[in-house]
Amino acid sequence: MTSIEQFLQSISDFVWGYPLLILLFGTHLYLTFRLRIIQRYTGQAIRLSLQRSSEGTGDVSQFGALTTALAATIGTGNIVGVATAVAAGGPGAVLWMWLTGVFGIATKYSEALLSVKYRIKTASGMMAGGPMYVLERGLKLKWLGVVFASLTAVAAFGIGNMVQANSISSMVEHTFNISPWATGIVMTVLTAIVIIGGIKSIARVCEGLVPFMAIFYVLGCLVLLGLNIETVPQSIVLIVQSAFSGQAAIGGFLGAGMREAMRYGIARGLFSNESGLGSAPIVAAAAQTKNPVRQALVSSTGTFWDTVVVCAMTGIVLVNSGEWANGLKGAELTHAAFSDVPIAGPIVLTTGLLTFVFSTILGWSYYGEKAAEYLFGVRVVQPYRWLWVGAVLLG
Amino acid sequence: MAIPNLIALLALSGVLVAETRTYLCSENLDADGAELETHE
Repeated sequence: MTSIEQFLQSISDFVWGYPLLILLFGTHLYLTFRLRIIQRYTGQAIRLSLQRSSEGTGDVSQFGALTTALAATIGTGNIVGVATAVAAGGPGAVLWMWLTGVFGIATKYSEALLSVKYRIKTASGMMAGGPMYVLERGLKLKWLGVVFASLTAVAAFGIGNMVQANSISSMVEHTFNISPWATGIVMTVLTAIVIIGGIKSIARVCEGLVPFMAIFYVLGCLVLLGLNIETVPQSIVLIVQSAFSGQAAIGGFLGAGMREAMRYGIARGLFSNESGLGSAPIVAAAAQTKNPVRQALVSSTGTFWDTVVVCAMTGIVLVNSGEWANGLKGAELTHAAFSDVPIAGPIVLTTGLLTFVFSTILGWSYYGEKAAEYLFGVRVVQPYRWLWVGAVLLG
Repeated sequence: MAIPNLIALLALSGVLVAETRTYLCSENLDADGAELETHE
């Protein structure tokens, strides 16, 4: 590694280290408190998200905006990321992750509310919103909006595209022995078909794909747990106990104190649902909604599904498998845990990963596109979409 | 990208509270945003 790379790495370690963790988690707690526990409306918010009303102005339905945001949010982190957290922080990390998700609902609600409130209609008649517009119109800090949009446009290609495409192709190569080139071309064509049609087309695909993949994965996890039902109660007790007292070394597991459980669990809970990152509100602004609070409630359920449901499922399956005690890490741990149940396990895992990754590429394409549009105007949208498709192939 | 977003969230938390009161706490969830603004 060259010294420049090392320098960049150390900066990113610092920024993504404790300071950002504390800032994000602090915001979650602060907003939960300021909004007098907005989480208590989650049940109502879920009912609202399932109503397919098309009243109010916007490009896509509330449900479409929610599923597109979920598409981007639910990714490999919901599976492999949880395994990394359990491997480093012990079973207790699962509880901390879950709690962080619960608090994160307030932040997701807040981002979406502001985003809808300060959105604008562009010359082409499409909605445009997100933190860049909030910063410009709400706080009169256009330069900071530009900073946000620039970072988003760049980040989208990394976390939202090439990293994902790369992980899909290596996974398919690993499991089915298909060359990365073949996977790359199939993925590129599929992505092109969906995103060239813009947000309406992306939302239409996500409305179908996201509920399917989430339900399939959660049901799959429930089946896996059902097959080992006798150990589930003690696994849950273990998760709660080791969250507060740490987990001593056993087998290949090196042991982790309460501090490690908290640190790795909270980190996973923060990054998985992207609450506070500013990404999901970009698509919330495209929703047809009567007022900002309605869409904010609908968007906040994204964090609920992502972390409070999907990540928690993965966590319980991992702990219940007992494989974490063998000292396995990340991807190996997930593989081992899901392979405990022959045939069904690997199918759930692979289908989950494939659909999660593909939908992430679709969702993030919209974030990047809107950021580019903010910076350079509507004319860059089509070239940006093609660039996006090309990057999939590269990745 | 998180930091500019968090600045906006914290700086505008007053707006968040006000909007939440207007629509959520007073059961105005079905109210039209534009309509309510003109009534203020």
